[in-house]
Amino acid sequence: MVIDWYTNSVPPGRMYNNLSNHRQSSGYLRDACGVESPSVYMEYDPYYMNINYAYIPDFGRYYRITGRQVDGKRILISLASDVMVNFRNVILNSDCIAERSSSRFSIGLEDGFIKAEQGYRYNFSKFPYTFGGANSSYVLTVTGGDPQS
Amino acid sequence: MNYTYNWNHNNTAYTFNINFIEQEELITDAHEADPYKLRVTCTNMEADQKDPNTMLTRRVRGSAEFALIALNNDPMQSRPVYGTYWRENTPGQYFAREVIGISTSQDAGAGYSSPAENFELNGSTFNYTSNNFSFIIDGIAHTGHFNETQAFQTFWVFIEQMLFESGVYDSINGTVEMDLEIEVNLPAFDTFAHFQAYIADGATEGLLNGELEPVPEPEEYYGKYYVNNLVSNSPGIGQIRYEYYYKFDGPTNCLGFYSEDGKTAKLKAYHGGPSAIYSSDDRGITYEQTGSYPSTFYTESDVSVPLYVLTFKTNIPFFEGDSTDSGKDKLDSFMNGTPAPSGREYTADDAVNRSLIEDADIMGKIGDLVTQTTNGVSSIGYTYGVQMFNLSTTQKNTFLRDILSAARVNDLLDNTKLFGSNQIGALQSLRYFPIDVSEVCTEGSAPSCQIGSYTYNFSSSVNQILQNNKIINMGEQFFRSPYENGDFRNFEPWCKLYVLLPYAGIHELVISRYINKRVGIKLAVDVTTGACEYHLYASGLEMDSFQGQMGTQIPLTANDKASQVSAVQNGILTSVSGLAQSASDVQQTFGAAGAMMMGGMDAGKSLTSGGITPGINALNSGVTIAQGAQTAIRNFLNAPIQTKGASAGNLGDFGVNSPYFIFAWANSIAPANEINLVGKPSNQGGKVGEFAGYLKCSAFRLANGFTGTASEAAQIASQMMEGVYI
Repeated sequence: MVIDWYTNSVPPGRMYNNLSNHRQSSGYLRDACGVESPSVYMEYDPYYMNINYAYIPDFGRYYRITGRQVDGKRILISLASDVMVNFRNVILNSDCIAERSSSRFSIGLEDGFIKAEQGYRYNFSKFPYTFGGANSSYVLTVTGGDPQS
Repeated sequence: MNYTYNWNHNNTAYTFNINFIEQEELITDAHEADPYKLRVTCTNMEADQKDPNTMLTRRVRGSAEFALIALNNDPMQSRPVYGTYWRENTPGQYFAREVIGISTSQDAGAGYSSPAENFELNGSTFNYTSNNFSFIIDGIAHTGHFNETQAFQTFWVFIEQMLFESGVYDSINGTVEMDLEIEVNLPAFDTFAHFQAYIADGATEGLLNGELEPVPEPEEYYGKYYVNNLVSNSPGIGQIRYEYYYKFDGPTNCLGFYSEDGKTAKLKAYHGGPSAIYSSDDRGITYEQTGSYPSTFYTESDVSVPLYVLTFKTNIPFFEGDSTDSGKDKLDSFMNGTPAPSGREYTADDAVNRSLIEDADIMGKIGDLVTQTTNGVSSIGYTYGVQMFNLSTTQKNTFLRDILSAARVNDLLDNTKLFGSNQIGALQSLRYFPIDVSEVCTEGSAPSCQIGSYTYNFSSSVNQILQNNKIINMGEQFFRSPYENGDFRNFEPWCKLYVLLPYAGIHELVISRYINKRVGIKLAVDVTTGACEYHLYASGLEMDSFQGQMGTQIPLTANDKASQVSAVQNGILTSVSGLAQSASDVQQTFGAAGAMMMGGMDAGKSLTSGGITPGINALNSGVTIAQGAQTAIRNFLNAPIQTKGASAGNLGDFGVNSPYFIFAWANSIAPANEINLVGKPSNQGGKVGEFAGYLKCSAFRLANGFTGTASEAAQIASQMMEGVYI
């Protein structure tokens, strides 16, 4: 089985990869295993200790290396399908409702990552009108007949 | 305001000691016809340089002056000029020329940007008023004028000119220290960031040369329609392809969007089209008028191109085609009020963005919408039978002295037997008001008053109240949101808003009623009862009203002295207790606000000791003060004017004597890397490809065409719910 080996500098949880340090070599599967998480035996080479990514053309999938076991002149490499890259296009075309987003968000929604310090601070704003002082009056109310009569 | 700027250039260390002269009136209006002025005076410059050939040190001293004046005399052509800032040598901090009148095509390394070239480019009148300099270089005096043909685009050019003339400019390995006075009537800021904040929301932090009024609400400048469309070649914003930010003015339904493929949107003008178009080249921070806009926008990502739509937002009605009618037919139906080919007539409720469209049904209303509420006025007249007079303190003292004198009192009693239950019941009331009553009443003039059958002639005519039909307009202030408009932190519980109303207490207000609006207070006063009512407005609409007791009843009769004293004490005890409790509550709730209220009460105590009206003292001489009363109560009772009955109205006189708004906010901490690291709350729906950067889903459905296993599908769904970087 032909396998392309790489170093992927992009951590998990991304929908893209950045590959380098390519080598193509042949190996064989350890027993029967699923396409999502195969394990393959390769002839030992220190190269395999410094890579973290693979592509198996027969499976049409990219894999992240999840484990290595050296067994004499062989090395057993455990792989896990990088689903976010393998199915990138169909994922991008999938419907979703975003709970959080870097590109489309609303600042009007409560954001749990923003914290408030204890207590309030205050601004006092004064309206220009002032009571009392020169602005004062006495109102006298009386009842009686027409003063003109 | 003093400002120091240090800068190194060509191995020369520059120190600018700048004194920004404060201006009483800063010009901020883009269409202002007043002249823009800039005067820079170098009161002293000292430079030490090493001759590049001999490496001997030379010393230069000098002074200089540069001034210009420009008329922005063509408002249709001149570009808006909002302000200036001290330009540091940092790449990427410039706005485009058209926005603020600062040339970016001829950037200088550092310096003070003037609007000069902007006026020059627009053909405005542009005059140098002074440009003299005088230097001494190693003892040789050198004076002259700058060459006016040189481009004085920036202040830095001016500095370079000055140094060049002095011979220092060519040198390296030196020091230059300049004492500058800068006088400019545009808002000047210390940093680009502060200037940018001012442009964005009117923040005045870092303003160096005066004070600024809050900027007008954006609606006064920009149109009611907007469209924001940000398109990138990649999921991130690193490879932007299009940036379309437009605002439009125009009549209702002058613009519409339609889409047939769900990926692109066509903008079509109706009914005369937009009358004014504004565009932004800084993603919606600032806008300026332009004459055109694209007709095609992008609404959905297409990864096969690739083309990623990072933003598409608009309040212009948007119709999408389906199997019933095309998008264009739907839009035409809505705009023209005619049926589409299917026979159906489309309305704003059929637009895909109906929640953003004015007049869609999502806006609840009962009856006709209004932009302001109206108040009535009282039409009660006080001319006959019941008479009311507005007396000054002197007039009141004279009246009481006369009417209660031994010479008159018998006549008064004989003529008032039929009125009221006591001897002088026709004297209905005498109230003190802390306002000029003429502000709330229409007044005439009267030489006398009729007390029962007794005619009392004033020593001179007094103001007679004819109608209590006016309302006091106490002013209007703009309430600006502390955070970006729409930010959840502008509202409770992050922020709280209180109003402190004299004679009516402290009340918490609902912030959303007032935020980013002009807040006004009007006051109605009932002169017959002493009651008052504050009306609070937000942009012309009454949002709240609060009642209080403003007039203080002064006791004129004493037929039941014991009950009066009891009533006074009960009233005071109730009021003081209530106030103390209120102050306690205030202190617990507001901290500083409560302290201020208590301070106000203390100040009120001292006010009572001054004595106001000796003529009234006789009326109070028989009042016995309850033993053991609190000090505050004793102080209050010692006042020559006391509150009658349960009304303790003049306690309000000891409180604050102006309306205050108290804005309380909790200081928030937002992580600087939040958007890139974990995004922000979204709740928006769409294809995953329409999002960029970090995405965490609350719901996800894998599209058709998936060829993986069920286990892989579950992994994908799980990952989308946990969050991914696209």
